[in-house]
Amino acid sequence: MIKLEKDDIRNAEEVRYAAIDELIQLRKNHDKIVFVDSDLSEPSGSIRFKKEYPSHFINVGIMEAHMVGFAAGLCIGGYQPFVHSFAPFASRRSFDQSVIAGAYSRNAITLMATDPGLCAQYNGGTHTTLEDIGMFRSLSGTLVLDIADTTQVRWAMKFRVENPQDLAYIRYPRRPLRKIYASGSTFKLGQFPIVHEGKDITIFASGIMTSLALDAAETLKGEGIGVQVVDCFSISDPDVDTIVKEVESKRPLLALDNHNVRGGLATAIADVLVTHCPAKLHRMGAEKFGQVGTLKELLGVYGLDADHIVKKVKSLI
Amino acid sequence: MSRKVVEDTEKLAKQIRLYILEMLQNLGFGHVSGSLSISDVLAVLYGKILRYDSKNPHKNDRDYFVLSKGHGGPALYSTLALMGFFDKKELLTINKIGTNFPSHADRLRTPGVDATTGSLGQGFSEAAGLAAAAILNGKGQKVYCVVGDGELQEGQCWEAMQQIAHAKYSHFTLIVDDNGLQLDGALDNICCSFSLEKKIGAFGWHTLCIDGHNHKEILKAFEEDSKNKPKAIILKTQKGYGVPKLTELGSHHWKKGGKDGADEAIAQAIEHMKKEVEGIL
Repeated sequence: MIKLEKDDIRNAEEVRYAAIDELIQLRKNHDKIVFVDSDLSEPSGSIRFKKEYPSHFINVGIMEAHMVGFAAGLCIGGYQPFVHSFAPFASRRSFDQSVIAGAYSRNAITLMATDPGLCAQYNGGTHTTLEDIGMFRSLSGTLVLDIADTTQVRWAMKFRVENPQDLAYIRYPRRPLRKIYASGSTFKLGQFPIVHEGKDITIFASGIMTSLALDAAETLKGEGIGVQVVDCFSISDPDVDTIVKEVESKRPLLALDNHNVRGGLATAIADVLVTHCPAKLHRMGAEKFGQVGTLKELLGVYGLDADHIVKKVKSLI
Repeated sequence: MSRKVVEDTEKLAKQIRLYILEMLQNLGFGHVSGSLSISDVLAVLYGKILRYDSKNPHKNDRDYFVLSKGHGGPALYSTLALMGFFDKKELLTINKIGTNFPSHADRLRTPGVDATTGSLGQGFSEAAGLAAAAILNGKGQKVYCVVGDGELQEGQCWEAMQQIAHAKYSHFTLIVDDNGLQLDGALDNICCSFSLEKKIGAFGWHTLCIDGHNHKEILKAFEEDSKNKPKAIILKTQKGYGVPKLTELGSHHWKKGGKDGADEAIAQAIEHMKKEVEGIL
């Protein structure tokens, strides 16, 4: 059950700490949880897990390919590894390992990929991951989650601990995000929450784009334009019913991607459209490689901030 | 060690070789040479060293074995059949549609296979994770992993090499099938491995280099104290060992119908071996 957060809470808690603190809580009753990091225990916050459970924390060093294979070994040995790296290394750097040692071998590794897409900020173009959703959603049986807030990341950790099946790729920014869901909300794979209601246009968003869509929706509401915002958090498991319903509403459809427009959420939605209810889908996402800058600056440069979303919506209705 | 122990494992190795040849002859192609090169070490491992229960392959105190050079699948399948993990007749389904015995080892298909391998280098990392799991389990489990000398060209192997040594996994034994050949020919002509003994030793491993077809040496190497370090046993082996024609050809992959004499050599070897040990058919 989800419940929307009533208050406008921004910058309350960093998403990385919500994820790690939730795992620390879960570890009390689940002694098979092991955390594996790759020389990023400060940036990921996993140093907190190490402090609580030193014997179940392993820092392999800067070896992402080895780390994913290593995690597969932990699975075979009866453990539940949660594995962290920055999104570029948790995806591109170690993809064959994720495919073979993870998905193909059906080892329940949970990849925690931080600072996806433009969230790489000052790490720049080399670290900007605009391909990861496309990569992982093409793997059979693999769970792909794009996290929109701290409530959702806490649920995701609990869900994985309680359902250790197959590979999971969970992407989230380390930074604080606007709190969209009230604490304790639970989600269902394949059921996309409507986080804002409106009659003039439907926006499909996920991850950091969900809060930007909400910001835009609130601005537009003041101008009399109604925006329906759908949080498509479980990209690997699209909510066909909701997508079809949105198409049947005859509203214009817009998908937002903190990812390349090819292969990301827009493509996932389009896959449902072509098989269930063909319709035109407008897209906003990155169309070139990354660069350095603050998230705010980058969202502006790539045309993905709330102002750009507002303008795009006005052009579509 | 008694003469009897060595005789037992030597006999087992002959049987493993015979099964490999029979199943691949029946199929008409396969990774025959690189399977024959590891038959001796598998015979010693499964005959005398590893702790396992063939009737309960997932028993939680088993030793872990990872064939990182996954293309040696036929050798592992033969060994597992001989140890009673499944009926030896099933081996004849190798690579046929729906089989439990694909070219490369697959944990979801074959009883007794813990890691899916074939993308070279990955099994070594999985074995490292199993070593970590063994420590957390606290049941004294050991980990054995076979890599090829060609496989050690993969950078991931050296990530594993470094991390295992750093973590002081003294219950880890790496077995290198140092047969000097890779798919396109001799390693020395493609990308030479320099001194594996010095390289692995420099990573902090207890390293031995022995004749990979001498059972007495192999047993001794497994039993040697590794002085609280992970152990690497470099086996000097010959691809195709047991079928001199295959060793001479140095081929990686055999296919029936060639004019190089391999077909006849395999048929003769099977006939010869059948006089000493029992075959599949």
